[in-house]
Amino acid sequence: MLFLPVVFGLYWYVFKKLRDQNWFLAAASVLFYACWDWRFSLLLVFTTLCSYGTGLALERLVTRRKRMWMSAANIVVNLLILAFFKYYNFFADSFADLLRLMGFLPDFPTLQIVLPVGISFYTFQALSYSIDVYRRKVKATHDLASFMAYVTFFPQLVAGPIERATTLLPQMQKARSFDYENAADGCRQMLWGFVKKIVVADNCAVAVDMIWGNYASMGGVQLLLGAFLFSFQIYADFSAYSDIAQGCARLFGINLKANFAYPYFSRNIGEFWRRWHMSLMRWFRSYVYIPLGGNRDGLNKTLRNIMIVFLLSGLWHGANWTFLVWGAYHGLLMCIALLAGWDRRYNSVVGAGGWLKTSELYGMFLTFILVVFGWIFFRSSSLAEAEGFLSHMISHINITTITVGHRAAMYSFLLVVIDWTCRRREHVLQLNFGGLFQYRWGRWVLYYGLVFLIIYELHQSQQAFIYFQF
Amino acid sequence: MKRFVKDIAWFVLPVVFLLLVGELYMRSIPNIYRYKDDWMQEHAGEVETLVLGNSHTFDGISPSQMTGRVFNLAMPNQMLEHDYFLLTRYADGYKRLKRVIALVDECNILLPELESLGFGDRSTYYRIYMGHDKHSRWSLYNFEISNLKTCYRKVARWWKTKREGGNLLGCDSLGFSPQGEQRRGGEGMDAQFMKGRWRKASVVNRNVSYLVKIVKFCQERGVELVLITMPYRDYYYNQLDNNTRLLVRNIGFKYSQRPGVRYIDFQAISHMTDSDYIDNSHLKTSAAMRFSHELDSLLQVK
Repeated sequence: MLFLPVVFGLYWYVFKKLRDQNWFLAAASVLFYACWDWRFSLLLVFTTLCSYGTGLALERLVTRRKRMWMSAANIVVNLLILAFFKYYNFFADSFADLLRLMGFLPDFPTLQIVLPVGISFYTFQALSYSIDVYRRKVKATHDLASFMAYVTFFPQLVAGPIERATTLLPQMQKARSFDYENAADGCRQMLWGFVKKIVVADNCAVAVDMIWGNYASMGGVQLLLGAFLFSFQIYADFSAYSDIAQGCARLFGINLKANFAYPYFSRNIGEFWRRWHMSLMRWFRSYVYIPLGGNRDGLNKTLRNIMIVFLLSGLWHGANWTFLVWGAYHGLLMCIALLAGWDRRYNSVVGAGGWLKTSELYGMFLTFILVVFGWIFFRSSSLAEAEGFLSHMISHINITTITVGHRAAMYSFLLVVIDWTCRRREHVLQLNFGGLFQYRWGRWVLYYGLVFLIIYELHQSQQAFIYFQF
Repeated sequence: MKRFVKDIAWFVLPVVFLLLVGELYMRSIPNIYRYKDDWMQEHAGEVETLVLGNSHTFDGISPSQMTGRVFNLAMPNQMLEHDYFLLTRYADGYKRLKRVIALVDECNILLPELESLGFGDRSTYYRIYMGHDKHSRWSLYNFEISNLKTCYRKVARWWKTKREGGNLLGCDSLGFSPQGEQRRGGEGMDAQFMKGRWRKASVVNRNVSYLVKIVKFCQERGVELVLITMPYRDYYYNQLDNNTRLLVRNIGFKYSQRPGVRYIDFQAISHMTDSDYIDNSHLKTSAAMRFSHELDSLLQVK
């Protein structure tokens, strides 16, 4: 609670020069990260220095071949670290299972590996820099302070948005001045983020945990509600973190890219993926999909590339077959959307012109249901659990009393209504200052109301943000 | 910049002030945690038998029906971790302690910590009123106001008691909580739910480690340890699967092999009937009196 005000105060009042501000931001960020586990802050610094050094080396190297090798070496080192911490046990167990199926008796050691929080986020961010330098999209920076601040910037360090060097690094290299309006709007965005996290996501989490933990003794309708609630939980949770990160960054004069744009109002799956976890999708498009050929080499290769991107996206989320199935499922949906010619439709805000067409409404409903179905795999701890959950939901679909999740359902419904009303804005509290809100007291009544709602729903057994584990 | 800091300060100060006043107000309301702690600080030297456990013993064992100086130190949702903490908290004061009655049931053997069960408010009370320093002084567990829902219920109860009279603490002077004679709760819904809850349950090693510590503490001090499993309503008990029952019983029997420890499974020997319960697992006051008497008679048999 004290970290942000202290860092904010020192950043603007004590460290007034750009270089000092960057060093301070980097140091504060590493300290922030070290609060989880100081050992992993060394890993963070190593990853940062690795990419920084690679950038400098790439600048000096002239031949394409040497540059390629240097860039590849950096990618391999970073991915090996990621693979070791995140995927070692998964691959070892899966390989052992495969060998067992073939009649062998393998004996791979299972290691007790602690996953460094946010490793997937900062690794991808560091990689984006070295790849962009290799592609000559950004110049290698000699300023270690700004580069450290870019990779380790604490608001987005542990759960994104994953920023590209092309957008964030220049901001770190330019002198920043305090902008009252930007900072005040940042505070409003953070406030809304906390409302989503504590009021909606945490209430949903309690109900979802109970439903998933006891699915075998619950009716189908209750399980269906559980799946819906998880959909709102993960949206409220992750978009809340993004809002808090964006709002917090604005206090330091930094603008992060939006990560969510009301995804559950998408009218097809293509639109959904342009509105959900946008920074990750942008990363995969730039560094995987397009290098693989994108849609330039015919339909078959396009479909292959889509499947690769979504499988990798699933794997990025965690070392579990459930994530791979989730990724494959969305890959298949995207392929179907591509074949049907739906993938590039709907780039505008839904219902921007007033009324929704019936086809848009139908598309929105269908897309939401398809996404909810995918979340069942994402939430389950194993494929067997997902299968059990689904089969129980279908075989016990009789109307039974819903005993769990009323409160969470109410908050989720309110979130949908509010999101729909505010879907043209970057965030819900980006007020237009009309009506009562033109007066300060009118705005403050709203803010105080939200603060007390947060305190009312605050629970000591606070749930960590879901995406911290990725 | 100055304007921003000023605005933030003006906005935050009333919130902080209200929270502070609210916290002080909440702490001024009498509660069982402070009462039991004060009682034990004062009378630990007189206690001969100490009753530990959760609401099953809190509502089920009345010291007034038992022989000697008995105090009920059980509280709702109390886990073995708290039992051990409380047992040792007053250890310097024990002069006549002969017996400790500790509960062994599915709630304190098969369930994880309170914090992960949504009963974090209880941890707050142990932290504030009994000095259980599991959580830091700066964590939310050190502030009652961090759980406004519980505060609201607490204040409502206080006002109701002030208006209508009655026992605000919810326990008598010896720590027993009389639940009255009125049946409450549905017939089968929560039992169905519990069935689901216990289905995949397994023994939580952390809980057992505290049981081991309690055993050791009693053995070192030459205090008899009586492990008990309280009786349940048949309907509820039948919903528990065999695995759940066995897990609990096995723990009881295992530790009763140690010197100075015995285990009594009241589910197997109790004479309680379905009408003796206010819900599926808590005894009515009259039944609790009879049960306490029954327990006392058994304890007199060496």
